[in-house]
Amino acid sequence: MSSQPGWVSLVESWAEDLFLHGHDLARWITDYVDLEESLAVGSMSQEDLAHAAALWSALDHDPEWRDQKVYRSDPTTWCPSRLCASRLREWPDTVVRGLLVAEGALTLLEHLREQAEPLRHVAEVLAAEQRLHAHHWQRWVRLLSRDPATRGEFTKVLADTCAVAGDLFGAPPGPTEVDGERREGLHATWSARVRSVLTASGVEPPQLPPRSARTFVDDHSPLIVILEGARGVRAAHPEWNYEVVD
Amino acid sequence: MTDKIASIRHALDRVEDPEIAISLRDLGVLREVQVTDSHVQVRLVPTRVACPGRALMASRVREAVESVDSTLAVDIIWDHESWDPGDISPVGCSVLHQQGFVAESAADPVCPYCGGLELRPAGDFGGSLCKRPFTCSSCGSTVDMLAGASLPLVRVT
Repeated sequence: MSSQPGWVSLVESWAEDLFLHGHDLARWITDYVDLEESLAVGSMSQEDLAHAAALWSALDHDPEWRDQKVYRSDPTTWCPSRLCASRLREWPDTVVRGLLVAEGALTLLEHLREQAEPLRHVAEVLAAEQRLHAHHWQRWVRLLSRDPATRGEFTKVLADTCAVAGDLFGAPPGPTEVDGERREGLHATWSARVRSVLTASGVEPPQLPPRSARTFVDDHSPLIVILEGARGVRAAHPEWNYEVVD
Repeated sequence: MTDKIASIRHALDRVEDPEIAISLRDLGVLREVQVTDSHVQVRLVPTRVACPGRALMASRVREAVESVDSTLAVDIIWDHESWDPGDISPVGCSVLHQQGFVAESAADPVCPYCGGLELRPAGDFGGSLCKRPFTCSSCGSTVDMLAGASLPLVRVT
């Protein structure tokens, strides 16, 4: 991996995103009237968390590193996308973010499978599982966009959420962007995938933003709250073993 | 040593999945066992990357080895190879059927309750990660299919 510094940064960014997205999804597990949906969201939450750990592991980060990252690292060293550093509020924005993240993860993993030999195998396995996530969120896009009772709110949430998704393939802050062309290509592929999915679902795709850089979080970021949620359980129960497995 | 190796393999072949009464060997999760004078290396492939039963599976594998020789160190390797329902043994398919499950790899997937041949997909996710719900058109039972990520996705209406 050392000869591909661009991949390391890109994959680490996405591991952070999948961890935060998976952790935030877990909040919804007990909030549904519909048991089947609760099971589905719980499953996707588990898999996103596991995929984050698998990507960290594929970058040769050992269990101690992963534990430090998740439970003890300074939140200001995290550099997630704006989308995943925010908190999910309602079901429509959960659906939209689920779709955007799943399509983004698939874009990255399918590219890694073809272009990054050290990650080819794990990328193939994770992509197969992320396809099920994308498929699930696509179904909800169709449901919310076709029902007159939900169409208006969903369309607004879709536009608002897409508007802040420009940094999914953005580089972390720094003096130079070593893999800008690659990231630009991935962003274009992701945008095309999202437009295609929405069009196939009968939804007019909103304007997707150009690629933008990621930023380190500040003290007021919702990310702080998200990480405090994950870390609070360990603080309350230090005798329990929370292993960040791959 | 040969007897000990055979005993270890026999003990490992009896280790069961934490959720379904089927051996990890028949489920296709237990793939490879290598025994040396001081170590036993066991390679496992989870049905899904996030399988929540992994810790318990690992614990049971260690206990199985210790039941033969508690001085041996046990190395468990979780492989990121894709588990596929085709990895379930014929015996495993039969065991699953008896417990009300359908293996995707079964030659003729039939409802384990009525023998109906038409199983309709009922959702993307079941009660656990490796299960996908189907409904039998004949008797209306909901049947869980043990499915890998490779199971073709179908639109559920």
